[in-house]
Amino acid sequence: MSEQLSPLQSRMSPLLKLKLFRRLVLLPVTLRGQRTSNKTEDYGVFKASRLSHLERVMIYVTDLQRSRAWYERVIGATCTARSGPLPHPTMPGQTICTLTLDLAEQRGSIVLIQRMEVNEKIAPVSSNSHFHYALELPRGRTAFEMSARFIALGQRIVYGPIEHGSGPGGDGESGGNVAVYTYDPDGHYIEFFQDMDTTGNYRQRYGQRKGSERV
Amino acid sequence: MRIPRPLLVLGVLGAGFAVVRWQVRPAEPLAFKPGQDAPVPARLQHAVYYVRDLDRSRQFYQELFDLQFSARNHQESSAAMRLAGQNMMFFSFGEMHHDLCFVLNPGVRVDNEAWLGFTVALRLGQPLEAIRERLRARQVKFTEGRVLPVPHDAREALFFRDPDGHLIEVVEAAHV
Repeated sequence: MSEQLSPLQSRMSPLLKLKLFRRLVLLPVTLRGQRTSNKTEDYGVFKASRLSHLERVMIYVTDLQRSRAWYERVIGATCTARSGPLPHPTMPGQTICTLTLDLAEQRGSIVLIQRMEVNEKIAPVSSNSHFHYALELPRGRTAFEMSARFIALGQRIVYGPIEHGSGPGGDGESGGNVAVYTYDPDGHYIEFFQDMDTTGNYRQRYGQRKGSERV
Repeated sequence: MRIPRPLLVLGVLGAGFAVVRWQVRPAEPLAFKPGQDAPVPARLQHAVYYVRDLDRSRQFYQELFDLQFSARNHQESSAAMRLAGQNMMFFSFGEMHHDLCFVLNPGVRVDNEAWLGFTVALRLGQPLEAIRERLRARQVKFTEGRVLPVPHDAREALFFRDPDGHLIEVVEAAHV
C-alpha cells in the first residue's frame, strides 16, 4: 500500500508556506515561459448545479473492528448500523460486511466495507481510487484544534494545518480552506478543514467577474 | 576578533534554519486551551479522486450534473502540484469552492479497490428522471435503487460508473 504523500513530501510540505520556496519549485517552468496562474482557471461560480451535497463515501477496509475503533476514537464518529455478509453489489462472487458511521451533524456519512474474495480471503485495499475525502469541522472550530486532537491521540499529521490560498501562511493552492490531513488505518487520506471559500464570498470580492477576467 | 569561517558558516545556516522554522510555524498553537473540548468533524464535504483524463471527466460530470468548474491547479501554476507530480480540477455544486475534484497523476494506476464509491444528493426540485435521461442519452448503463441498503430511507436512487469506473450513487433530495 503506497501513501498519497511520501514521508519526504510530508516533511517538505510546510516549506510551501514560503513564497520563495514555491517560486524556486516553479523556477523551471518560469524560465521556460510556461508559468501560469491558478487564477486564470479560477472561475467564479455563478450557477447552481443539479447536486446539493456529497452524502456519503463507501470505503473499503481490511478490518472492520479496527477501523470502527479508529473512527470512533479519532474523529468522534458513531456506528449506527451494520450489515452483512451481503453479496457485493457489483462484483459477482464477492461478499461484504458493512458498518455505517454518523458524523456529528450528518447521518450515515461514512460506510466502512470489508470485502471478501470468492476464496473468502479479505480483499486488500489500494490507494489508487481517491486522493482524499474531506470532512468539514463545525462552525467556530479550527484545523489547528483538530491538529491538537491528533497530537494528543498520537495520530500522525501528514500535511498541515495550512491554508489553501496565496495569502501569508498559505500554500498557494485553491479553496481558502484551512486544513489538516491524516491517514486512517488502511491508508485512506482524510482532510479536516474549516472556512472553505464560498461562491457568496467570491461575489462579494469580485462581483460577476470570472477568474480569467481578473488576471 | 576574527570568527573562524566554519563557525560563521554554521551560524549563518543556523540563523537561516531558525528563520524558516519561524516562517513555517503553525499560525495558532497546536494545543487545547484549558477547559476546551476537542473538536470532531461535522459532516462529509468533498471528495478528490483519481481520473485518467481530466477533460473527459470534466465533460462527463458537467454534462450530467451541470457542475461548475471552479479551479485548475497544475504543475505550471502550483508548487504543491509540481512536488506531487499531479494536476487537479476543482468543481463546485454551486455554494462551496469545491465539492468534487479530479486528480491526474501519471504515477497512479487508477483502480476502484480503495472505495466502493460515493453518494451525491440532488438539489431540491431536481428530478432523478432528468439524470436518467442524461445517462440514457450518453448510453451509460445504470442500476435503479441503492448500492447498499439504507434503513428508513425511502428516497429514489440510482447508481452507475463514471469513465474511470468510479461508482456514483445519486439520490433524490431529502423530502421536507
